[in-house]
Amino acid sequence: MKRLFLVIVLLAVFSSCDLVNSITGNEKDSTVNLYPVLVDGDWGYINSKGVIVLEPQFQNASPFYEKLAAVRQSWGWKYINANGDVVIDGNFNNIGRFSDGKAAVQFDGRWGYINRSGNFVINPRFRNASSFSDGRAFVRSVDYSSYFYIDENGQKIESVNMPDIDYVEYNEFKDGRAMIRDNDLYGYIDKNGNTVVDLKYAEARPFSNSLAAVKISDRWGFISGSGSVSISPQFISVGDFGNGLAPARASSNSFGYINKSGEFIISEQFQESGSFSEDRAPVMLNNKWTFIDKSGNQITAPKFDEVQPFYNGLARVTIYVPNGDEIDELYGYINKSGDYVWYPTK
Amino acid sequence: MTNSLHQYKQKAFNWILLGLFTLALLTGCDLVNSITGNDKEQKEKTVHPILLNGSWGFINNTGTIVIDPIFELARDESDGLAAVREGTLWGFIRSDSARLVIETQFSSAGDFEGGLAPVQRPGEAYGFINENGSFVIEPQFDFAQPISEGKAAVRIDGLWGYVDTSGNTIVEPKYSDARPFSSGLAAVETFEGWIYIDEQGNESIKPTFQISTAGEFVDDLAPIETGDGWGFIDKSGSPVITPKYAETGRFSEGLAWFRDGDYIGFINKSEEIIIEPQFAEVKPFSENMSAIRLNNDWFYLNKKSRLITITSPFENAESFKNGIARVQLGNDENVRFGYINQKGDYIWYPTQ
Repeated sequence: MKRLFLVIVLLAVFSSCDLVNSITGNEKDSTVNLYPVLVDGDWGYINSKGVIVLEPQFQNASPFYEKLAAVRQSWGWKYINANGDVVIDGNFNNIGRFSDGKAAVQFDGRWGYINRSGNFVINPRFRNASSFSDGRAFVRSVDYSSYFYIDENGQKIESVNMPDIDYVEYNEFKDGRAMIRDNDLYGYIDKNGNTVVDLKYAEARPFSNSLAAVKISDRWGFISGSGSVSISPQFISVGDFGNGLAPARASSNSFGYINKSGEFIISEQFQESGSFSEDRAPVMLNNKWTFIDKSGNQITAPKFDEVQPFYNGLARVTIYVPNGDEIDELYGYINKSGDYVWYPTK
Repeated sequence: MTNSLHQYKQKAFNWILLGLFTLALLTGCDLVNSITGNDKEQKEKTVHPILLNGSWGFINNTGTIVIDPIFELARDESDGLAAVREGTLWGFIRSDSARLVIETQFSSAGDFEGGLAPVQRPGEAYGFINENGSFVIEPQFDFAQPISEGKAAVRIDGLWGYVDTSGNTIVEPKYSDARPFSSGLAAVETFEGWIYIDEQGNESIKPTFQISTAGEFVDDLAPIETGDGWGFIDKSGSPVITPKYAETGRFSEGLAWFRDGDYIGFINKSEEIIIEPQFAEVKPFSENMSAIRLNNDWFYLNKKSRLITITSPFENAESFKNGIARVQLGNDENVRFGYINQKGDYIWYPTQ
């Protein structure tokens, strides 16, 4: 008992600066199920039942990631907690989402990374910076001359067999791999910067569910993390795997979904389709979007003009409403049954 | 009895632990500062110039006005005295007595060092006064620099030499430019570029390569510029950090800044890059902090963490001195000066 108490005291001494934060908050493993909604031009947040819990008051609002959400208020970007309290406010020009306990922020025109207390953990010394994933982040040097990955200390990831790389849109590490591009050919590196799949593909997509789509002589197939072909190239077009399925079209103008053996589980029938997330995938029919479940059943009739993937149980949907010469975008939320939790508003 | 005494002891022990625990909570963040604790008395007597309603006065280290703002201009204190100007004439205030001790009477005045300051009365030559304002070296120079290591560079008929604190010539005037002594050496400019002389005036460092700019020795290294760029020489004159940098500053607290292309970082004496080039402008480290400009604004970088820890934007920021630093907000007619502590909190909110 005595010893335990002493340990607690010692811990307190070492960590007292952070103690206040840890007492007031916020177990890392739970999520905040709040969703941004636009009401009469201001953003607020609803809960998963569609009840407004943070009054509309923000000029911009993002989803919660690691219990913090980026919002714009009084023309400044800040982070709020689930109570709507501004917990980080630091003269930022722009801010990104929290991941791996860090967020990219633009400060005096330069990008760096802050921790959950709002203190810099990597100085603002980049021209651009992306979110961390798997302990790595993609950045651009301040002098515009190069793109590279950094570790959590801000150190450049380098290896003998990694080329100087160009910009790629999908630059997050997934399944321990990042897609890289040099001289318009794509390959993959591991977290230490070793080129594990040679740069030989004219088109490629990032890893997801341990497979990556690559284009081999006009047909798309999938490779594993070692670079070996695991689904032979046979598709005209594919998307990324999610929940074990990937959008694909082999012989028609329509998309279906294949499993990891390359077999169609949901037949080719959709005009457009996106990856599964939380067991739902966006699909387009007759120029309108809806979602399907893993059996291919539509959860609502196709009626949305835009959709975002399901996140924390809800998906944001957009409908266009003509307003004179212009078109208003109204944002709503549906649940996994396809019911409106928040009817579209602007 | 024994049992209850034991219980009492146990309880007392727990209370002490709880006390420690609470103390730790309250003071944890300040603990390191208070352990390293500086000489408080010295700090309290330090004064810093402030601008209030268009006139300059002085505050002490806690942000209390100790000399009313009545001066047209005021400089930082040096050696316990600070130069102030009324109209066109300079005098000096003393920081410990917080009053004007040398009446404003000089058209030009340098900083006190070693108890003396170079001054010039209107229409007269430069001489040196002591802390009572009496000339101890009679006016006789075209120009004179403050004392450093007991010697001052002085100019006579366009040429620089050095005098000691009694006014005795120790280096005849023969150089086209001269810098203060540091670590027993002074940089002087000759027709062949800059060289270093020792305290007897002997040419102590005269390298085979030409030095086009020469800085002072700090911790046995001096920054120099050659045709190949900037580097550092040691006291024997050998270029221990090869001249190749676009620009370098002198060492301070073990680090020197260097510029690579458009961006500035810091190296240590072994020429290891300690802080990658990332700043547009920097001031040398002092009291473990360096003022740095990222893009438009100035902030402060912490030496230990190598991270920016003071993130309020300043128009300009100066080095820390006795725990506080002068910062500027606004410019031109709206210029305001304030002072912050090492946490970035104002001890004097910017005023104009």
